[in-house]
Amino acid sequence: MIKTKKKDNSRFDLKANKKIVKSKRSQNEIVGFVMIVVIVVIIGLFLLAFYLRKDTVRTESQNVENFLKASLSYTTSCKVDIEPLNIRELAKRCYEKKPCAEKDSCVLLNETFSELLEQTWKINSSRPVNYYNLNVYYREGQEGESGEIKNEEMLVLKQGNCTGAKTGAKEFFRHNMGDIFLELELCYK
Amino acid sequence: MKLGQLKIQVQENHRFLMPRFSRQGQLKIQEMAFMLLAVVVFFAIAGMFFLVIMYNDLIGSANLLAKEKAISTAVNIANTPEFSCGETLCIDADKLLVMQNRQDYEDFWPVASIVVTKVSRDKEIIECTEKNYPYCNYFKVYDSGITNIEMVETFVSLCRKDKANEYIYNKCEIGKVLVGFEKKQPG
Repeated sequence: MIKTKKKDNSRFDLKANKKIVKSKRSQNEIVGFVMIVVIVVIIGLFLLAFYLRKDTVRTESQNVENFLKASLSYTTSCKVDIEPLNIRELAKRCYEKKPCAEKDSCVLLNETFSELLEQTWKINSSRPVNYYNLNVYYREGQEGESGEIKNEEMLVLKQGNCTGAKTGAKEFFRHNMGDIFLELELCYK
Repeated sequence: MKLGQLKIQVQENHRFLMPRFSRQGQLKIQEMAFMLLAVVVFFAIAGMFFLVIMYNDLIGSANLLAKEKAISTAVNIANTPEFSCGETLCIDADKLLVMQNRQDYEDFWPVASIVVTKVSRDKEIIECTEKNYPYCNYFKVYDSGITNIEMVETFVSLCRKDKANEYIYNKCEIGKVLVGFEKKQPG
């Protein structure tokens, strides 16, 4: 009885040990496989996110740049002497806080640009442009140069909600010791 | 049974057990082969996906470049002495009126059509003639008659001479140059 019991036990133990070793090995393999899958999925997601992000990265648009260049010559209703001023001159007056025939030149600049943007990039559900953001500011000094950088905001005009691809351009002209920048950002469906 | 015979039998049994171990090895090799195949298939699919994305990107870039080239042509046309008001991206509306439908320039323009419009609130298109100028918003400068065209537009400054209290000055508005290019047939 004892002999057989011993035999049975030893047999059983061996099988059990083998099973445990086998199941441990397969467990290890499964864990390794799962880890590889998880790593590959993470890398895939990262690449996908990077690719989708690339679409919304701001691309300089030639058309927006041409619009900004053309708008600088636009004749406003601001008359200082006899000749009405264009947007370039009006922006200079706005920065210098000079009035425009008893009217605030910055208010007039705001009105003129609002009208222009409304006419050019009409925002409604049937149009491709769903958002615009115009920023007019004065900057003196450059990054990397010694000395202080002077940044003065003159006008911000925003409308709509940005969904889809972003595009935009920047235009500037010299004034005093710095530059007046016009920056326009648009979003297309 | 004798003891010697038993020994031989045990030895023979051990020999017979050998193929069982090699079958296990075969199974492992098979497992590895399947795994390698799966990995190769996975990377092949991933590579194909990546190639498709890259190819789409390439077509997009080519279209973008073609459009930018067309816009540059439109800008160059706007800057020609026949239209320019003296500055870059500035069209003289008075010149446009004179240049409308001139037969002499038919072979001069490298495009199929040229139209200049004024950007305004008006929804109605009013073609400019000598009678209604400047109270109009549409200049049809050139039309080759080709129907299969693709239009490209860009913004310009549209200026004309105006009078205020006997003083003549340049009145500039925002305009659009629309240039038509003949669509190329594939192949």
